[in-house]
Amino acid sequence: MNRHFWRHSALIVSLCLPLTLLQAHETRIETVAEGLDHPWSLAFLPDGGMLVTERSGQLRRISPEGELQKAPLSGLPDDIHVDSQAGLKDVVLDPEFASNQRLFLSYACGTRRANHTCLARGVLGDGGLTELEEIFRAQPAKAGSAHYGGRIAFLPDHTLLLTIGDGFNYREEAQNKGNHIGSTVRLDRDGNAPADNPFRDDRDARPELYSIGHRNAQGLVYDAQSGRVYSNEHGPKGGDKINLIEAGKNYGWPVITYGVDYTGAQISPLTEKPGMEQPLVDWTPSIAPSGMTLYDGDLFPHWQGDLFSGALAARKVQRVMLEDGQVTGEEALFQELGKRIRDVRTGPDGALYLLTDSRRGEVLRVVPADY
Amino acid sequence: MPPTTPAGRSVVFSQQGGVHPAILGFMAAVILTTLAGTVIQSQFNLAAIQGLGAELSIADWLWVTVQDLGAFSPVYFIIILATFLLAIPAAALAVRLIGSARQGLYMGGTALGLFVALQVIDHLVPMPTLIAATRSLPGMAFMLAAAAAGGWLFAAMTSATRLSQHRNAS
Repeated sequence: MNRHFWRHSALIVSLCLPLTLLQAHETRIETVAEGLDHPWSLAFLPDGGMLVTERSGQLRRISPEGELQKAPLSGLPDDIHVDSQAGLKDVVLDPEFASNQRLFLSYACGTRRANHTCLARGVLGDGGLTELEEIFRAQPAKAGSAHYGGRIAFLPDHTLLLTIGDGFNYREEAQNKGNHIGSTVRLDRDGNAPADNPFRDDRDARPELYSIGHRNAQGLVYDAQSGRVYSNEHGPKGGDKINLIEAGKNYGWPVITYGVDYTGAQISPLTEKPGMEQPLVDWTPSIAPSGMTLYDGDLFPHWQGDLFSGALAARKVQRVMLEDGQVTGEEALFQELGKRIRDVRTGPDGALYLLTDSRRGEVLRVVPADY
Repeated sequence: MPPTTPAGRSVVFSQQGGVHPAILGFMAAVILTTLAGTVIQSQFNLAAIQGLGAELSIADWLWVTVQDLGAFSPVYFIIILATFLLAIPAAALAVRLIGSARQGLYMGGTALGLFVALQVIDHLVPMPTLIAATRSLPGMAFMLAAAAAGGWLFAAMTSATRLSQHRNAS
């Protein structure tokens, strides 16, 4: 090593250090709640409280004062299938929750040998849910406890999108419009297929289908400003991605993929094919994306309009900078936590909320350091 | 250092330096099963993609097969090695007890061993099925047939004639 090397290195370090410190001190992370069993999803209540789903089948309530209520809410579906990746998934409030107190839950239902992604709705009361009703069950039944999808997002017309995984062993079925496996479905609040769904006129297709060719979409966001729908999904080994979801489109799995199987085996030699959509973002190697938000809060003005995706394997939040629907950059955040991130949400207070995935999972709140 | 007998003779290498037929047969069986299984699973995976309407050229089929020989076969080699380390001695014991149907017992033993190994692996790993080709009955059958071919090769390479030839040569 010569003297010039050390001089240049010292210069680079001295220039970078303040920038690093600035970034490290830009945010402050507070613990809102802890001791949650694999929390999966978070919904903000109008009173300032929150609802958190636990994959093990409980719906928990956090008071407006930030206190996690000890007893889980009652009235949940009695056929939640809890095993491996199966369990209670998303919780989303009805767009008219203020007047009807209704919410929607997605979950794995059935048994290990015959299970589905299911959707139920109920009315939230003080102690739990009432008027619970299963309104949709993905068909057909599948065996095994993997790849359920399960994210819900409401559209402005009060219909909802629900992601459905490929069940791992059924990957070819993601190209079959005759079932719901590996798809996004669009439903009205009664669980019916709206009349303007894209495959309604296709006699071979399920009327609920909105898009097909998905593996296991774990994040789903509707951007109210642009009207775009973004979804992230797990690839196999490599090939994790963000898609711009559009009605009637085919996202290619497993015919096109940038990933290979966990054994190293090729799944397909193709990465593109006419009639199949390319991802907006490809994450190879995999980060194992989870819940995702499009930040529209006030606390971090420079984050507005960007996507924030949780990452399980990569133990971080991946910020994807967007401009007019195009990706302009990416940034890894909160790696210092060293925790699997299951969900990311924008709170009504403008803070970014994170769920950490473990048997003692947490709800974390990210605010500016000087907040 | 290869293990030695009390008399100081190598059980792996004869005095003339030849590898014992059992060692040679074992390694040949593992390699044959690994390579055949790798190629078979590639064809099943590609057939599934072609069945979805994708037009795959011969170059695509060759490229995937070669890629899998490079990336999948090391994983599969370990599975087969571990499986045959148990299955072949078990088959040898069965041969000694039964005293007949030697080739059949080695073929059945290696195929059954692989079937059990895949069930155990699929039970232990997070995903329902580690090797995609074994999701279907035909895929599983072909993979087990490759294991049976490995068992047949071991039996052929350790036949009484071969062992006698080896003893005479040493």
